[in-house]
Amino acid sequence: MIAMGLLSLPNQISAVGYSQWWLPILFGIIANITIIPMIWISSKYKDHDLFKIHEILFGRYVGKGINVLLIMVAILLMAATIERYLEMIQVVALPYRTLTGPLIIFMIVAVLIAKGGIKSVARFCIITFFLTGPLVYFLKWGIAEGEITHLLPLFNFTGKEFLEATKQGYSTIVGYELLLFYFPHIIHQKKVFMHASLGIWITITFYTAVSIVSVMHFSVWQLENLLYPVLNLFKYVELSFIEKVDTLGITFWVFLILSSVSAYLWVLKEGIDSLRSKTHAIHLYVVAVVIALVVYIPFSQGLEEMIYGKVFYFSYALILWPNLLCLLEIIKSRKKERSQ
Amino acid sequence: MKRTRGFLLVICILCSGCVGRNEAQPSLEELAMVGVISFDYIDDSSMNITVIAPQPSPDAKEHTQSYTVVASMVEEGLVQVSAKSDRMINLSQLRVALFSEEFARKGKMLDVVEYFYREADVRETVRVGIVKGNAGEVLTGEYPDKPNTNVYLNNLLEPTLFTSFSPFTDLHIFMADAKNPILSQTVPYLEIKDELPEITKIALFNGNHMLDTLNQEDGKIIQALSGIKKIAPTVINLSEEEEVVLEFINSKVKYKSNNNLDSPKVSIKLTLDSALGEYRGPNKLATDNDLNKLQKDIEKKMEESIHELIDKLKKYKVDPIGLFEPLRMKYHGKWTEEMTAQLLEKAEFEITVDVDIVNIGSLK
Repeated sequence: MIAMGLLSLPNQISAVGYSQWWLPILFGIIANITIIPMIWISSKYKDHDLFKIHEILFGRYVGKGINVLLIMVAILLMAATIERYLEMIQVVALPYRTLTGPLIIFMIVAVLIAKGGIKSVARFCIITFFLTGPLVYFLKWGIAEGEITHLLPLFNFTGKEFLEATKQGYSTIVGYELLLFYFPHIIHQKKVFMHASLGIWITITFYTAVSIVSVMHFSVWQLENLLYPVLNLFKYVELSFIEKVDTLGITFWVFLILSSVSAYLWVLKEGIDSLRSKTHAIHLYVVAVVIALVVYIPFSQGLEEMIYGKVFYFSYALILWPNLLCLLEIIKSRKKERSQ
Repeated sequence: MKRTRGFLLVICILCSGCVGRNEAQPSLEELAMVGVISFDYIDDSSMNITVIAPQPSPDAKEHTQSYTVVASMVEEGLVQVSAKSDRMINLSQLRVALFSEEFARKGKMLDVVEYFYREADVRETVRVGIVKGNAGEVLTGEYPDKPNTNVYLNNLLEPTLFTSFSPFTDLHIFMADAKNPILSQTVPYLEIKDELPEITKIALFNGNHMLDTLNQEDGKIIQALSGIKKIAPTVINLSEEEEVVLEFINSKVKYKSNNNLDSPKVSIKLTLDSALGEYRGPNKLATDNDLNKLQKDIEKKMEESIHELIDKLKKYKVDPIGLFEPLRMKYHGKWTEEMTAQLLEKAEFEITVDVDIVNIGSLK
């Protein structure tokens, strides 16, 4: 779940000004509610992922059509994430350099992780957690130069601002919908709800911490205008033995990006497997090359903004999608009962 | 076989560093790590930029390289400096940015600070300062008893207890305060005295423009009221023949407001735990009563000087302290700069200082 989103989170929910710090908690609650239909529908089809469920519920052709759309959206989503990250790497760590090399190396690593299947992706996520979690320590410097009084008042915004912030900000926590795809691979399927909630709330803890520190540290103008407030928080760190912590932090961030990208890569591979009804390693490579190409093709800035901005709304749709599936499932089972 | 292959791979990776000269990423020796930069006003479209960078080569006679160019924009100036220099200019080691008083008064400082703030290379902890007269002279000046001008100027603007009357503004604080409707920024003000730069006052800003300077005593009060825990030792003149030096152990400030925007009233309570540093006067300080009397006198004197400072700020119509933060905390809606100015004009202040002398040294 944590990838590029967290870096710009305080900026994306800045429409509500200083009141933003409790917004991640709200997001957490929404996320927690939306996983219920996901788990319900998945537990009805214990051995099938979402691609298969589509085919069962909608019939072969409509289901495959939906799957194609899903795959395309996921490719764009990944391209957006990778491109944003690489752009930032260029700004922070590798100025005056082209990004083809880093892009290729990045994709190779992501493919290698995804190649080992969901198990290796999960293991990588665990490493990521332990490697990047301690970065929270660097928030200390932000707190030292911050005003606790900024946290008040709590509800200083209009309804419109609130909607704007939610619309922009929720994109930072999408990613948990992948549960629909790897559910069949989970061993303790009964405990999924608890584990998933735990995962969500660990993430939300990080998000809330970052938001609170940002609110304390920055003025409203800065929150609205800094593209990556977390980067600026890194830049404020002063250690006697490391000069530029921001470079360190941003390069460590690659673990977070890699864990999201490799998870999506794996999902995409599964998707193409189910489309062609056979498993083949080459699917993974094709997907990786397509993503790299989308990143590499220089779209105009405006078009890029439009595509990448809009693509996140599709993931909102995907989060709400299981509700519809549940409805379909209920209708279908009723019909079955009646016919019997 | 596998081991040989791995070995070859490692060799390949290690040796890739030896491939020819790379213009985009020069080696460390080819970079001029600028430590201090200064800006002087020429006219509205041009400025004098001076940079100094340490000279690492032991063969050079001087340990500091300095360059001065005339430019209209910062980046343009840096390109010019690179052309003059034998090495490539790099800002990632920048520590101090100095501006001449004229430059700040003409309202050009914010643009430059914003440029640095935008630049990903530059750290946010770069300290800013205002120099009376020519800022470039501070950089090019000779300080024979100092190891290196870069280090010296950096240390000078590094916060220490005895200079904590000064705000030690860095890029982040400058930007945050300049764009914060409730506050205006203050910056340390340097003067060259006996050929050595020295922080003598603090410069008061209103958004973009420097307004005036405040003296060190006012600076200390501003720091204390902004909630800084450690304040520099202060000399307090109680009367002609009575004088006391206080060292502060801890300072605490509490704001309360009546939450009324039409007739605002802010009460400020400043609690100072202090140690008596030095005393000159008729009071024998032998009994608790004597000490209490001294405390009362000091409290009264400090309350007066806070009132004086606030009157001064009312005259300038700026608030570097954030006196109305308790009102903002409970205000629903957007806070604007005009509101702060209006409130400052109308507001009544109730000031209580509570000095507690906890320690008078180890002599009876």
